[in-house]
Amino acid sequence: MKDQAIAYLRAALGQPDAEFREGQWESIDALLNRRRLLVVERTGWGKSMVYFLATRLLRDSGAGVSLLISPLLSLMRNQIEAAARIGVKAETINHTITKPERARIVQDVRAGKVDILLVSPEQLANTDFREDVLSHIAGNVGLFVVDEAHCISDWGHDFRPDYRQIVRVLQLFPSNIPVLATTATANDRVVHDVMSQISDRIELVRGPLVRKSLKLQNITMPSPAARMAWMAEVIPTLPGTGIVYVLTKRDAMRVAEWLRIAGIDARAYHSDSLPDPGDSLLADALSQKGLSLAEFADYEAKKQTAFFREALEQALIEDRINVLVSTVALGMGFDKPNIGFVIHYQRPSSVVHYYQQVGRAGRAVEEAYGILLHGEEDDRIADFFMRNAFPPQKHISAILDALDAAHGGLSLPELQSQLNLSKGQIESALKYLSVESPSPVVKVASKWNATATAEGYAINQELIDAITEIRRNEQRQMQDYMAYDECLMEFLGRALDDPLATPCGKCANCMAHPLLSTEYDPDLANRAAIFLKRSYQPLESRKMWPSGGALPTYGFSGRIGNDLKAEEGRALSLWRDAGWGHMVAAGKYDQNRFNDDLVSACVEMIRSWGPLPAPVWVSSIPSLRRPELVPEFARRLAEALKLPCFPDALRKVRDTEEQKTMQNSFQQAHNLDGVFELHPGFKACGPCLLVDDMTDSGWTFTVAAAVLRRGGCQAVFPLALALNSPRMD
Amino acid sequence: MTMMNDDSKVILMLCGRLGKDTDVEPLKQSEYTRIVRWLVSNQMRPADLLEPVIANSAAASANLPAARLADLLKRGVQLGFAVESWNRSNIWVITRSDPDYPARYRTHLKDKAPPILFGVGNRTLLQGGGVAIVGSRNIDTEAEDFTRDAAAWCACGGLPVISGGARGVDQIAMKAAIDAGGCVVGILAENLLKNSVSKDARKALADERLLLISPYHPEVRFDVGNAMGRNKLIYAMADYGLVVSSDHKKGGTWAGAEEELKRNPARPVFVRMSGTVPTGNRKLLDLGAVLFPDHRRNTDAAATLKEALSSQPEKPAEDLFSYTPEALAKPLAAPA
Repeated sequence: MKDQAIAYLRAALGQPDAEFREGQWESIDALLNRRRLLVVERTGWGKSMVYFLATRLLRDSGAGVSLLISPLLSLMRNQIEAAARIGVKAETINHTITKPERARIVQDVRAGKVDILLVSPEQLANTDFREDVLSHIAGNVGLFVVDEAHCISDWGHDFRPDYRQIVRVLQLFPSNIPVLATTATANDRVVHDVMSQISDRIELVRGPLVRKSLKLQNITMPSPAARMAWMAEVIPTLPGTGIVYVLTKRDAMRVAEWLRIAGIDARAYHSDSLPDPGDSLLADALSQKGLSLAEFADYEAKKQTAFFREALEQALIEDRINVLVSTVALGMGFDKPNIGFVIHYQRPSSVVHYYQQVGRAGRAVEEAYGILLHGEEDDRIADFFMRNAFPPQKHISAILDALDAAHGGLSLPELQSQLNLSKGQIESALKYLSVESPSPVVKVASKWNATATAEGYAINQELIDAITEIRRNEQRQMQDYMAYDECLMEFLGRALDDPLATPCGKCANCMAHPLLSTEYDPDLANRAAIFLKRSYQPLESRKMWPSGGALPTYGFSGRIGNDLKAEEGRALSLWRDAGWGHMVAAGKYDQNRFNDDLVSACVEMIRSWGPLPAPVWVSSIPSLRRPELVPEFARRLAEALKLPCFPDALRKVRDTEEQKTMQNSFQQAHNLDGVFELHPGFKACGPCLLVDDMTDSGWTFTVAAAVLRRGGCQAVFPLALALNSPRMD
Repeated sequence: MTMMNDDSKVILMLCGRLGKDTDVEPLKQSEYTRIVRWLVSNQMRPADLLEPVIANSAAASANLPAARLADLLKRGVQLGFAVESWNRSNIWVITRSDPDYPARYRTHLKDKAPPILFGVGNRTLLQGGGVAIVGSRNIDTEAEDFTRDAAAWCACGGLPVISGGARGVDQIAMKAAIDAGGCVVGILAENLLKNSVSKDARKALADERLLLISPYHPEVRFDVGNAMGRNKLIYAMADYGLVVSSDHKKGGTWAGAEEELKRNPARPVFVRMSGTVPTGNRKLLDLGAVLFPDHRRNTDAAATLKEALSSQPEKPAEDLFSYTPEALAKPLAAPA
């Protein structure tokens, strides 16, 4: 059998003298004997070769399809090609593929034409996928592979709810199903936890982690503008292409835009990445797949994102762009052998994260840089993520109480109309609850029902506290790493329980001098600071009224027609953010007046924005609580724009709860029902610039604009001084 | 809850409906029985079938296509997903090879004992006992009152109430017993999942006074055949049956009672004769059912029922054979 396996290996790699790496054949052999295996090896070791060859040999002996559970969007093109050379046909089912495509794959699988099927963990939890796909193919699976198996561990650095379910499924397999779990990064505790959870009969294959060509350096640079200036100067001097890791989506977009201004071809990559209109990368990817822009525009947002993310990964792999500026979303399994540098714009939350991310560099190149920048905002962001890692008990209790009171359960929109919780909060609590077993909730058809377990259910606070404590320790370990003055690579290796960790002789500490300059150009930093201030935020107009009759007084429901819709607006800043954000907050809460700098900033923004048809008058959102604050600003802005101002066009006829305390669309819109009335003398008129200080969900603008439009206003352009960012406030 | 031995996994792969795939038909109970006989005669367990050679021999001797058995036994991954999802929905699965499998089913139903049971709630109630209260879906208020009274009387006397969860007598009896603080076993023919999340069921389940079980897939819809098939499970779970009202020669209540009275040995079946009763009730007396005693006179339900039976004419003796390997190993008539 081994001879046959080597022949396949050589054919797959196209190298007639290739040999197995240490552990590869042993792993394949174990799987052929239907054993269970955890393989901990660095990316690039050849885990995919283990499951391709095992699949080939199992298929030769009549076994069913291999099922590969992986958070990857798809297998890398070179992997698919290697598999194809030994007749292993690989297919991917994720939410980006169309229904007919999915049906075709299921048909092919059932006809035995597919040998290995890649499925994301999220898909496995999806009811449609289970019914339309899984139930048709799970009846004959010959090999079960779980990629990124460290996610199984509660103690792992990125525990994912869907993996809790996967591990329970694994435990239920009869002993005739071979199981392969793989990961590139895991310390001893996580390895042991994963093994004990999968089976008492699981075997371990583990190799060394250290990457020889990687040169590490840490730089403390508190101000974001300084770090942006440094990157703009340094990146063009670094070898090849690379990745800049950031902690938030907003930073991904902002840093990518800045790098583009600095002449570096960079793109933002995160879990909601969408292309800018006219991005040539999108056009290329579409033409490769034979899709038109119109077809792409018809995709739902989630699918557009997944498609574009794949296009971005591919563009980086083919060196068609210089840099991806990415959140943690780019990580698992992304394999480009010649990445020249990984720069962290902010400090990641643990050594495991850091190692996994920086380890993307230097796989098959002589030299590569791993630079960790440390800024003033790092701890604040880390705390935010820790605080929000689990749904709070009060959200859970509110949801369970509502389900308990309902006969026949509640749908998600029904929950939103009954609870003042955001859609995201409800979804994340339901996700958490639904992967418990036995779960306090169960979805029957489209409705969520309480189960008997809901009675007296409480979230396991002890476990959550224990996990939070681990996260704090991981954060402390990263702080230690930043301050460490001996070999950086050795520090990482030890933290990951690598017994072979020794000084690397290459990092800034081993060399005893900086590898890259730690200076930055102050002029460039000034420009970066101005750029940061100028992060105008587009305000998308809402397209649908919330379902369930949120606005009965106005009679608004269903699709928001073109006769009522607001135009796309702008926010000058992000609430309390660097730049104008601080000034807006000070004006609102300390000075009770927005200063003239904000007037000129708005004028400049309107100039670069150029709303069309151009507004011919200015109005503002009325408030009973602060009746003068916004109208007074609107008047000064109108004066600067040389336009007439009519702050009284809309009147507020009753007091409302503060809009920012409303947590979901239904509640936000419902809170405004019948609240705005037109001035009795209001007549048909030209386009209007409608001013407010802060916007969050945008429902205030949406409702006010609809009232103005219904009164005969030709167009309404919302303008807010700040966009509240619920993620960071 | 998720712990499951390989014997049970094999039984589920052979007999369970796990997904939508209709390429391969799970074994019927009679087919599975043939496999079990072969295993018993070779001193093997279901888990031994995971070895393909053994599965082939089993198929040959049970007169089943080897490929069908092999295909069923390839469903391990599907099994994992199905059971995990049931467990998450608070549903557990037990098979005839599990220690908690109801002993009453093994002894009373023998090879008609269902290989798989789905359940929600207090497993200790699987030991059964008490009174199976059954009757029509559409009944008058007199019958309703009787049902409520009788169920509460059983509950207060410490007897579990067993029923089928259908509209009418079943649901009234179950609710009355729960309200009176008693324990209830509902043996359902349809939609175990949906029934288990109804408001009434949730409270009683959380109090551990309710057990719902079904031999059918937890999301299966109503089907006459299934409803008929589970009648015997209601009687077998109890010490006695009580028919509140039955049509004559039609409907599930008649069929179930007739089936039980013809079984040898049968569970004693009481029938309500107080007030105006349908013809079926009287005809059941002719088949051997016993007049339900006036229960209000004595709060000791168990003693009252025992006494009512002992005043009846002598019945044939208990069956000598229980469901043991020895009994199964005896040569039996070849299946039709």
